[in-house]
Formats: sequence, C-alpha cells, structure tokens
Amino acid sequence: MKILACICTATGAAVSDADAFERRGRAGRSVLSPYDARAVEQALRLAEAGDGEVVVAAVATATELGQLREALAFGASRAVLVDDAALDGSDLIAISRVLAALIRTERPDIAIACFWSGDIDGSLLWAATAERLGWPVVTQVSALEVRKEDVIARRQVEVGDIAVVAPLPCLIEVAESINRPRYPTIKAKVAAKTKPVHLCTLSDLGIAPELVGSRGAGTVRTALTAAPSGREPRLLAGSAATAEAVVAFLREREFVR
Amino acid sequence: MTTLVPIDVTDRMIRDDALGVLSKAATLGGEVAALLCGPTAAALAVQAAEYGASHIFVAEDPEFAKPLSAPRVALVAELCTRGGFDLILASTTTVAGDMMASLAARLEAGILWGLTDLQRRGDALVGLRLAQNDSVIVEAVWTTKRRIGLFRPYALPPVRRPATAARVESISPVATQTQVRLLECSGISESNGPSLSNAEIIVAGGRGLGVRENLELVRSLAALLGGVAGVSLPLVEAGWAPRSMQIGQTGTVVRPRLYIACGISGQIQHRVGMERAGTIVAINTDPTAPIMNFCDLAVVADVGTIVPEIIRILQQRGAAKDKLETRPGPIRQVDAISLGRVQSEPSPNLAASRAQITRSET
Repeated sequence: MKILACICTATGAAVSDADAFERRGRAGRSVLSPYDARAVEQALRLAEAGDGEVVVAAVATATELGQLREALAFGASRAVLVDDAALDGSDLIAISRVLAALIRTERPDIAIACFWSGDIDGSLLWAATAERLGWPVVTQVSALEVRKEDVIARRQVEVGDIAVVAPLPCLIEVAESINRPRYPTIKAKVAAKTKPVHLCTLSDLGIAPELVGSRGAGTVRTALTAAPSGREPRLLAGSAATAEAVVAFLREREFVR
Repeated sequence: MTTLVPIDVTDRMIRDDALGVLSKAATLGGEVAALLCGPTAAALAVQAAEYGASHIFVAEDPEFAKPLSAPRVALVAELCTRGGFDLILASTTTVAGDMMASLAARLEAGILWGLTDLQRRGDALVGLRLAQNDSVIVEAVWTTKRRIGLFRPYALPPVRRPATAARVESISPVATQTQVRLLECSGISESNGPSLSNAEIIVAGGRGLGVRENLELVRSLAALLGGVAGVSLPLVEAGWAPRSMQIGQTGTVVRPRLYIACGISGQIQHRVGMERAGTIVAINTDPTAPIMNFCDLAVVADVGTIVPEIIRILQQRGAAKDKLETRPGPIRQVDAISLGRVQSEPSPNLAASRAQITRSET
C-alpha cells in the first residue's frame, strides 16, 4: 500500500501573519508543525500495519527543506516538493488543482493530511482536491481503520458521531486527536538527510501556469485592516493571578457575593 | 444576481445562523432561493420565506437525513445549472464545509470562507472575514462568475421580513456515484443534568486541565456558582466527557451571562460556540492562547492550582450566586468574613458555611 502524507498546507492564518487567504505553505521551517506530524504519523502507522510505503508531499516554497527532512526522519521513504514561482497568489481552488495533479502523478492508495483544528479551510482544501480527483474524502477523522479495499473513518458532525465507509483510493483529513506523533531518533534524522527529495514544477505536473497563482485564483484579497477590539481583557499574571483576584472580579460583576 | 442558500434541517428547525444567511442574502438584491434538506423540510418552507427566500426547494428524501456531502453537492450543482444561481451562500457546518468546497472545485467557483459579513459596494460584492485571532479584518472579492461563500457560524442575525409570496418546489436526489457510505450515526444522547444551551453560568474545561481529575474541579466550581459544566472538543475526543457536554461548532452553541474557560485555548471551533457569552473569564497557563484575547479576565495560572483556591474562597464566603438568590432579606456585608471567622452578624447560609468550615478544621 502506498500512502501519501501531505504536509505544509496549513493556511496562512495558521503559519504567518501575512495573509489569511494564502494557501501555499512554506517548507522552510525546521520543525514539522504538530498537525503535519499527525498526518505523517498516521501514514506511518498504516504503512507499518501492512506492507506499505509512505511518501511525503508538499506544495510549498522551498527555501529550505526542514519540514520535509523531519517528515523523512519520522520514517517516510521519500519526499516530493512542488515549488514554482507561478504558484504565488494561489488560493484554495488553485492549490487544490496542484494537489490533485500531484496525487494523480503519485497514485497512492490513500492520501492523508492534517490541519489546525480550527482551520475550517483545511477541510475545504481537501474536499476540493477530492472533487477534482473524483475520489471519496472524509475530513476531520478521529479514528481510521484501513481494510483491503476500503477504510472505516469516524468523525464528529453536528448531529452526532458518525462512522463512514469509503472505498480506496481516498483522501483522509485527520483530526489532531487521532494520534500522538513519535519522536524521530538521532539516527533517523541523520538517515533522513540522504533520503531522496524530488523537486518538481508545474510543468512536471502538466499544469498550465495561468491555472494557478493569482491568475488561477477564484478570489482575491482587497484589504487588510485592524479589527476593532471587542473585549478588553484585564490580565492577571504572575503574583497577581490569585484566586482572590478572580473572586473579586466575579463579585464586581455581581456573579457572586 | 440569483442566490441559493442550502440549509440542513434538523430537529424540525432551521438554525438561527442559517436564517441569518438567508436574511443577509435577501438584502443583497436579486432572487433568493433556499434549498431545505431533511425529512421535515416542507414544514419549514414558510419560515424560509419569512426570512427572505422567494423560491424554496424542498428535498425530503431520506438520503438527505444523512450527514454526507456528496448527495448535496450533486443536487446543488444540478440546481445551479438549471436555475442559473451565481451566488451560493451557507453557514458553516461540517457537512456544509465539505459540500461548498466540492462545489467550488466542480463549478470552478471562487470560495470565501469564515465570512462575518458580505457587503454590496457598487457592483462589487465584498466578503469580510476575521483573521489572526480576530485582530485583522480581511476583505476579499471573487474573480469568478459563480461565487461561493461560507459564513462563520452564528455570524449573522436572523431578520424576519414582511411576508411575500414564495414558490415551493419539491425535488428528488440527483443520481450520484455515492462513494462514502454512512455506517452508523450515534446521535447525541440527552444529558441528564441541566441544559447547557439555557445556562446562565457555564464553567468549561479543556485540554489544559492536564489530568482527568481536574474535570471534577470544573464540575465543582460550576455547581458552586449555580451553573452548568461543559467541555471543549479535545476532552470529548479523549473520552473524558460525553458529547452532550461539548461546547463549540459541533457541540452546543451557548450564550451564558458568565463563561469561565479552564484550560481552553480558544481555537475557532470552540470560540464560535461561546463568544457571545456576557462575561468571559479565561484561566490558562499560556498567556498567548487565543482565548486570552477575547475574554474579560485573562488569568495566567494553572487550573489545578487556582480553581481549588477559588472553590475554597467561595465556600468560605458562602458566596455562590444561587445562595444569594435564595437568601431572604437584605444583602449583608460579607467582606469581613475570612477563615471561617464571622465578624458581622452571619446570615443562615453564612452560618452554614462557617459550620462546614469548622467541621473541616476539626
């Protein structure tokens, strides 16, 4: 079984203060985000349970390969990084096009990603990618069982907790709660330095540059302004953070006497 | 411009935030259609009309009772092709998120999400959302002919409009290769205790509680204040608390007068469920946790240390609100009471609490 773990796709809102709509991640940080670590961990667990291979994939700017190397140190066998200047300004529908092409090229049995739990757009990206592939998708999965020809995934929805069956190949977005990622050993970190990282561009994936970037985006940001502050928190920290001070506040607001 | 608002009908009702989206759509001009999905949809067509829909599609097939996006995607795509809708708006739910993103890819439509408002400025339709822990307003527009917008849960108030004639049309599911099948749906069992949704005071615990025993502190403080205990998503996922106690987007959306968050970071999933509370007190060891910016009192402390102290003080003073409300007569000065010594005339409740303290001391 081939498992593709997709990383570095967290939103700009989660990784940078630059742009809340920007979809393109950055591979430059040296440490894998806790969310990406869960995707890689889940992929490895599936691979270890059967006879599988884990490939790490990212659509990101490749200033350095820190996060990819860390994912390789977890135990993935190789990595693919899509980097192309034409990706600048890509939004969700543009990046989903690139991810779909990458998945089509790699042909995994299952592709796994994880997003910041408050990152609704993370689920959106995955649903859009699956639509382009014509693959089933389950987002925010808290428990996953992979069988021979399908998966059973559990998730929470507004009306309760559900379990669904999706045939392979499929896309799974895991929730943060799904696992506790391992710590790579020093030996694994050293070994990761020599594992192959395949750099590819849009032309390698057969994507015309006008279909991505700001030209291929369906949305464009027009303004960023400071939001008016709603509440103005009173801070109790250090020696001031006492139970007496909290009770005094509750009394001031007449919740207690 | 013609707008379609897909809405899931559950528990024989339309959620307030879905009515809010309909109300907003009605202010933008052009025809507004609602797609009501669910077994009791037809009965709610009148309500959809009252909030701005002039054309109501009713999809009551049992297929739409399941929380799966694929049948909805097929139906909305079909309606868009047939009816020429160029703006699709919905409030965010787990199913609506999956559905709208799939539609964006299928229809090659730009998608804006987390919207708190949508404004018509001349010919332009501008979406507004909050980012960076709600410190920044992002404005964005669509560049595609067809536009998809997802609103933040409960971002928009429902506004009832004068009744106008509305067309109601029953529709059947569109054939799809349904790939994801529902195996089971647990539903949410009713909680035995008082309801979170009507609670005046809520004390909630999150991952920052650290150990399971600390959830008892949350319950104790809630009980002492005459309130209800709740939790955030991670504690439900960890099996510490039942789903009925969950506050947040996929849990209960609450609006108490007082909300005390113990060890809750305040990620958006939780935030949308409690941000309309009157007073918010956040206790967290991490001063940079998002919740520390949208509360009224930010207490940088360990829940396991400070909450037992708060409980001790409240018990000593007999200061809990429920006791206050049930106590007859004028309000008495209780400031002078400390360590179980009553320096002014004690009320019966204060005397009782003193007795309790005396017992615990002996």
